[in-house]
Amino acid sequence: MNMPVIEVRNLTKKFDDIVAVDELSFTVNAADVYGFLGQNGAGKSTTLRMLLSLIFPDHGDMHIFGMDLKHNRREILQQTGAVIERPDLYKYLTAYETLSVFSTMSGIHADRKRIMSQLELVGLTDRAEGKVRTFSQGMKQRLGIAVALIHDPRLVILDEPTNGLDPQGIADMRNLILRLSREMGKTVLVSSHLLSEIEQVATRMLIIDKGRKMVEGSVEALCRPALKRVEIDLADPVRAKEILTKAGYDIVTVPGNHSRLVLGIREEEVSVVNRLLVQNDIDVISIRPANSLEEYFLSLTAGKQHVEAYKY
Amino acid sequence: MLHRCLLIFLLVISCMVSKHSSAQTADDLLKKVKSRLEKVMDYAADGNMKMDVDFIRIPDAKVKVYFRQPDQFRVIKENGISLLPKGGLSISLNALLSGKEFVAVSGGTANAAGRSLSVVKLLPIKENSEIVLATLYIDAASALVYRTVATTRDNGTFETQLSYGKYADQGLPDEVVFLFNTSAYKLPKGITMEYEGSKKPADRKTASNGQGKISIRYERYVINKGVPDSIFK
Amino acid sequence: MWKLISIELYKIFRRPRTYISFVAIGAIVVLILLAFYADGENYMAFGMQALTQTFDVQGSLLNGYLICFVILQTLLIHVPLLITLIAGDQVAGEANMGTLRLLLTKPVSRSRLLLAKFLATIVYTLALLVWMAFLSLAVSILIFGTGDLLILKSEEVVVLSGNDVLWRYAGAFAFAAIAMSTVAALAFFLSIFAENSIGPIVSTMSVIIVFTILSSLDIPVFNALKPYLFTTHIIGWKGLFDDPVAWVPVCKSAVILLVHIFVFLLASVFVFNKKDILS
Repeated sequence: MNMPVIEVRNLTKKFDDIVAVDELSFTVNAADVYGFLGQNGAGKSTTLRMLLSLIFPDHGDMHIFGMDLKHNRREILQQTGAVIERPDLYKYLTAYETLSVFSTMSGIHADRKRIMSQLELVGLTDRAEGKVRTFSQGMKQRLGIAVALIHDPRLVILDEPTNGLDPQGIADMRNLILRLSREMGKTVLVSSHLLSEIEQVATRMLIIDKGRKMVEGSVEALCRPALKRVEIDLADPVRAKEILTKAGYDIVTVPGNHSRLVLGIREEEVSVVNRLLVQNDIDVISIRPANSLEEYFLSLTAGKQHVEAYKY
Repeated sequence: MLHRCLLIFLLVISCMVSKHSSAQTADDLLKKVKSRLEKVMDYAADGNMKMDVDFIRIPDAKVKVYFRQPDQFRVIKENGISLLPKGGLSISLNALLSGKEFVAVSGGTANAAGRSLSVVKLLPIKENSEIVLATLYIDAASALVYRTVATTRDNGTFETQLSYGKYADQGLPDEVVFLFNTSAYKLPKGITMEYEGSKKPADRKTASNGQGKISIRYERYVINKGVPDSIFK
Repeated sequence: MWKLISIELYKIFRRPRTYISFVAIGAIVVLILLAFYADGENYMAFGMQALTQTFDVQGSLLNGYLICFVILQTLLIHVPLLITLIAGDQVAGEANMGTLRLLLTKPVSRSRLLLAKFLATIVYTLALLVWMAFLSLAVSILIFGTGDLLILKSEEVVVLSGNDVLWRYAGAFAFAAIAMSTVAALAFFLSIFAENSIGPIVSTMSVIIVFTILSSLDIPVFNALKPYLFTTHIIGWKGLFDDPVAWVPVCKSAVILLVHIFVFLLASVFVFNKKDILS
C-alpha cells in the first residue's frame, strides 16, 4: 500500500526575477513522514504554500490524493491539515472558540466533546477558556496543531513546526509527528532547516536548494547507509577501476575529476580495498570517507558555489 | 426693524375744515368703513396661508389670525414655522384703520377686481409716520375695501387685495392677498454642501423675481370673544 | 454561507475596536445636542441672516428634525472614517495577524470567504447607521420635539411641514446606508492589496477627501468630472429634503452608488482569487 499521496512534477515559481522553486518534482507516499530539508530561503515554504493553494505556481502539476489541485482544491483541503510557520491565531478568542470557529470552517460540526478531546490531544485542556493572547509560543503552536487536526485529515503539512520552541516543545512536536504517522496512519509532510530534526522523524526526505531538488530518498539510505561512501584519489584511476570492478565493487566516477573514484562499501572493507590496490601496484593518493549527508548539507548552508549533487 | 410689527395704516380723523365735495365723499366713505370695522373689538380667525415667493418653498398651512383693537395683529402657525415679511404685513384692515392719523383725499374711481371702486388717498398727519402714503380702493355701495396700496418709509411698497363673502357685514374678508418686495437671497455653496442633482430650472416659480405673495383664505372668524394678551407678546 | 457570515460577524464584534465607532458616534451626537441645547439660538441666527433681512421667522426652528438634519450633515463626513476602520481591516488585518493563511487553507472557496467578509462588513455598517438614526432622530426628538423643518440651501429656503418629514428621514437613512456601503466597498477592495490595515484606511479616506473637494468646488474644469465622483452622489440623501422631491436625480445617485458597490465587490473577488498569499 504505497500509493502516492502527493505527486509533484516540474513545479516552478518565480517572484519577479528570483526563481523560488525550479522544476521541482517529488513524491510523497501514504503513511510517509516526508522531510523537506533546506536552508532558509531555499524554497520550502513556497513549495508547501503551493501545495495548499495559497500561492499559484507558474507551471507544474500537483496531484494530491490522486486529484489535480487546480480543480479539486476544496476536496483536497477537506482532508488536509496544515500549520504554516509561526502559529498565528486570533488573539481575542479563547482556545475553545478558536477550535469552534475553525472546525466550522473545515466543514465539520464539532460539539463540545470533540473540541475538548482535540485540546486533550495537544495538552491544552486546562487552557480551554484562556484567550490566545495569554498563550506562550509553545501553547500557540499546540493550538495551531489542534486546529489543523480538528477535521481528522489524511494529510498533515507542517512548515518549520519547531521554530521558536524550547527543547521540550521540540521534543513534544517530534513525538506528535511520530504518533500521527505510526498510530494514526496519517501522511505527514514536514519541513525544517535542521537535518537532525528531519533525521529523527522522517522516513523519506528531500533536500532543496535554490528551489531545486538536490537529494531525494529514504532517510535510512541517506543518513544511515549500510554502505559507506568512500572517495579514492589515484594516479591511475582507469586501471584501478578495472581491478575493483573485477573484484565486484560498484564504482562511480566523478565527472570533472579524473583522478577520483567513488564506491560504496562496508566500513570493514576499506582496508581490504586499500590492500587490493597496493597489491596491484596502484598508487593510492588518498582514501577517505566521502561527505556524509550532514556535511553535504552544511556545505549547502555555507553557500559554496559549486556543490555537486549528492550521490550514493 | 422699526416698531412693532404691523402698522401701516391710517386713522381717520374727523376733518374739521369744510371739505371739498369729493373730499367729503372720501371722508364719508372712510367713516362708513371705519364705523363697521370698529364694531370688531377683536377676532380670532382660522385661515389657510399660502406663500408664493420665488426662493421659498413652504407648504400651505393652517394658521390662526388674531386681532385686537386698536392695532394688535398676529398670524400664528401652531407647531410650525412661518415666514412673514418684515415691516409690512398688515393684512388686517382693522389694524390699519384704527387709531392712526391721516388726511383723506378722493382719487376718483378706478376699476379693480372687476368692480368700479372709489379711490381714497390717505396722507399721514404726523411727520415721522411709518406710512408715507396709502391708497384704498373702496366699493362705494358696500363700503368694503377691495384693495390697498401702502408706501412705507423704510420697507417699500405693499399691496393687499381683499375679497369678501360670509363676513362682509363685519367688514372682514374671506381672502386677502398680500404682495411685497423681497431682496435677493443667496448663501455660499460651501456652507450648504448642496446636492447638485436637485437643481431646478430658474423659471419655475410664478411670482416674478423680487416679488412675494402671501394669501390667506379665512374660514371662520370668532369675533369679540376676547383674545388673551399672551398672543401678542 | 450563513455560517461563514456569522463567523465573520463574530470576529468583528468580538474585537474591542469595533465598539469605538459606536461610542464615537454617540459622543458626537451628544456634543451636538449639548451645543444646541446651550446655544442653539445663536447658531441659528447666524445661518439665517440672509433670510431675516426681509422676513420675520416665527415658530420653533430649533426642533428635533432640524437638529437631526445638522447631525446627519456632520456625521456623514465623519462616519466614513469609522466604516473604513473595519472595512479596511477585513483582509489586510487578517494578513497582518497572520491568520489569512490559516483561513485560506480551509476547504472554503476564496470567493465565498470574501463575500462573507463583505456581507459582515455591510451588517456592521447598517448597525452603525441604525445606531446613528436612533441617536440623531429619536433622541433629538425626545429632547427638542418635532416641528417644521427649515432648510437653508444656497439659492432657496425650504420649509417642510412637520408631518411631512419622517418619511424623508427614513429615505435619508436608507440612502445613507447605500452611501456608507459604497465607502465600505472601496475600503474593502483596497484592503486586499495590503498587509496592514493602515494603508487601506488612509487611502480610502484620501480618495474621499480629494473627491469631496473636487465635488464641492465650483470650478468649470472640475464640473465635468463631478457626475463621475461617487462623493457627489453620497449627499444625495439631501435631495429628499426638497419640495418637490427631485426623485429622478436621487434615484440615479442611488443606482450609481449601487453600481460602485457592485464593481468594487467584483474587483475584490477577482483580485483575491488570483492573489499569492505570502503573509
